[in-house]
Amino acid sequence: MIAVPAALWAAAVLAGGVVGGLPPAEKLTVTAAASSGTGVAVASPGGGTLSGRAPVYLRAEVGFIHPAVRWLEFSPGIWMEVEGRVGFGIVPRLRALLPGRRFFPYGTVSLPVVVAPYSLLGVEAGFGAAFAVHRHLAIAVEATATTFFWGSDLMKGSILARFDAGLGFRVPF
Amino acid sequence: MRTCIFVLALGLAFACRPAECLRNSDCLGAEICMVGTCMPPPVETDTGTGGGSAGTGGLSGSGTGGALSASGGTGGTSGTSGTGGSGAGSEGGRTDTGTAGADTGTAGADTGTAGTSTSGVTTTGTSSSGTSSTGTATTGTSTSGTSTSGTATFDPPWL
Repeated sequence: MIAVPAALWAAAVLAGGVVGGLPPAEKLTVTAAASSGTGVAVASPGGGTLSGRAPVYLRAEVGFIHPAVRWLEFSPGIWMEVEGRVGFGIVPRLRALLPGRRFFPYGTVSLPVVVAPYSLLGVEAGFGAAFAVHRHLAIAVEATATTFFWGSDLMKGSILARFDAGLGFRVPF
Repeated sequence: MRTCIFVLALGLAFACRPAECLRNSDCLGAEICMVGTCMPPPVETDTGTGGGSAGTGGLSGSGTGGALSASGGTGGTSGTSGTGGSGAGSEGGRTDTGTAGADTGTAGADTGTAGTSTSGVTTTGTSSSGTSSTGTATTGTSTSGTSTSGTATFDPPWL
């Protein structure tokens, strides 16, 4: 629900030159990416700290890069937990890319919103790198830290933190 | 760098303890996660008392004089309203179990006096229909099924 307006907003801003000093894009760089990962989850109800393995997730996203701001990518995506009870969410994300030839480090900030079957809202930050193995294919590894602070999935009086590592690929168009 | 990673791992190992669940979706079915353990949601308990309304419908005794040209007997008083039923209402739109109060009113006796007929025949002033049956309410139902003072302790796991 948020991803679609966000994508439209990004397309309008980046392609239409709404922001001053940013000329209209003749051609946006569009990428697709998919990844999967797992990690450690931590919660702290009632003063104690509990931990466990975080369910395996799948993530798919589409990235938009303006030719005038090639270091920044806006990549809304969907997110699914596929281990245990299946969950579904949407993840608007900004990715800051460092320049490189075949090796592209990057940092990310996201706003994950899980909508089914329970709700979760949080913030996510991470870093990773993409290794170009072909002109149209890159392998990406990344690590993220997520804090969910609101939602019906949380234990009463607790937040939920996840520290995940993922592996995926990126395909430019 | 290696020392930092070791310290971080050691800290996590000592600071955290494994849990059966960390969130509600880790539990099966309708169970919820409470302090790392899956358990059924709290049972809904309602301590509210309902206020059932009094039953109505006590038969009124309205007698009429039977004599010719006689002044009719005055109607009996209607049954007095019944006492309020004791309801056990609860929040959340649950069915009110209150029962209607029985109408304990008695039908008024026909106290009409005999009138004098034109033919000079004095009849008794008792109305044939001046007495009512017992005043038990038959249609009295508790209509107010919501508790006004009940406090529910159910705390839904979702927001």
